[in-house]
Amino acid sequence: MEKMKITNYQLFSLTANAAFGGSVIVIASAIAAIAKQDAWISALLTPILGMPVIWICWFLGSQYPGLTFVEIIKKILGRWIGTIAAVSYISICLTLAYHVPWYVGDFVATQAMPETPPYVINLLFMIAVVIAVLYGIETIARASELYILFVLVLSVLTVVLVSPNIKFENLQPVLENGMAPVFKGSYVLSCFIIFPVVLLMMIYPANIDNLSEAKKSIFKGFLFAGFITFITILMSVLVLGGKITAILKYPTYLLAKEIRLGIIFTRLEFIVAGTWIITQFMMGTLVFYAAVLGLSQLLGLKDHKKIVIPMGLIILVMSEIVFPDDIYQINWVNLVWMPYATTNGFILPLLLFIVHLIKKGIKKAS
Amino acid sequence: MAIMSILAISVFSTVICIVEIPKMLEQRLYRELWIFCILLGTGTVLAVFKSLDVEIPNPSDFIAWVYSPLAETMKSITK
Repeated sequence: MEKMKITNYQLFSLTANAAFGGSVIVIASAIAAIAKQDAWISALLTPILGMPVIWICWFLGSQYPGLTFVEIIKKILGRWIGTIAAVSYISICLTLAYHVPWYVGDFVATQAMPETPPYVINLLFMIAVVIAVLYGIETIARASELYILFVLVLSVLTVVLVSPNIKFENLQPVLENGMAPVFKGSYVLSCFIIFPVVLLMMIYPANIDNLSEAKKSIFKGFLFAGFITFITILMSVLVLGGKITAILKYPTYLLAKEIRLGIIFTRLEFIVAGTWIITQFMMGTLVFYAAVLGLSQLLGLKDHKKIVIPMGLIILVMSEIVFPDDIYQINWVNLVWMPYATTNGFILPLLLFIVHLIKKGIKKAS
Repeated sequence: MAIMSILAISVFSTVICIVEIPKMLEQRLYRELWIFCILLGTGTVLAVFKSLDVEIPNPSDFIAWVYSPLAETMKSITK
């Protein structure tokens, strides 16, 4: 097994990418559907609620330096229960790995290139992901280091350019239906930005040199992701209003279409699209790496790179059949993805944490 | 079109086999070889089925079935 080390800054950028990577352009709509004009309060709450989950992930990693999450699961839960938990964990990595190309293909095919069949876009995307994973984690980490700067600059640029269109009336009335929808909204948001961070656990304890510094990087990365999500949702609500945000599929993209500064700065929506495809690419690479590495560790393979290409082929076919239509996708995300992400992103680390503490207690007592 | 994509997939799989299998035999990675063959076989069959428009069981349906007891709770949250 390769033991490449990544720096703490790279860990920061990877955490940020894992947290907002998959969802930054679509998420505003799901939150606005629940919390309406108070969606931005949900986005403000979520990073605070996420702190304990991130802390548990960090703690587990710090107790088992040099191991990946699948190995940690097996070590804590034993062989049989550990295998079941690991299969569940790998299944969520695989699921995300074919959702990400589906989203990219769907986005490009509906918004930019309607005559191109989505599977051509999926194919190009998967080829890039497979090549990235074949290069190894160090290359992925270095790329994310650069991409995070792109994302920051482009997001800030979008926000600055769209700010003349802000209507503060869109935020009123604040807390129209009390706090309940806000909390529901922040639960939904946490399924998209907190729980996917657990995917990073395939990289975090195994490839890190300095574990005490790593804590800071993980929290900083998570807060950075929370901040980007917050400004995205806030600007969507401020510019488009809660109602319109809720019915759109890609609200942030429409937000960028609103940019009109004189006659020069118009039609800048592909700034947002470019940012999103970059973050999706990083997310896709991370989840695909996690899935391949997890699967090869579960099966006891020595070299995970040997199964990258066949897995890429399977993921490519799956990305074309996973959602037959948009209605299916919306229903699936609302009814299935949330409990699925909660089980693997929250309950599984919590269970490992508790079992770890009990085991430690027994050791001390004896 | 179906024939073209099936041809492309077969050529792709054959090339990958020709490139990868001797390497693995050389390094004596027999377990990797088995898993590689199973996964590549699955992938090729799936891709051929897809190009022939045969219905492939959707993994999303299976996950939806696993979490179906929670569907009502989720409906109340997302309303």
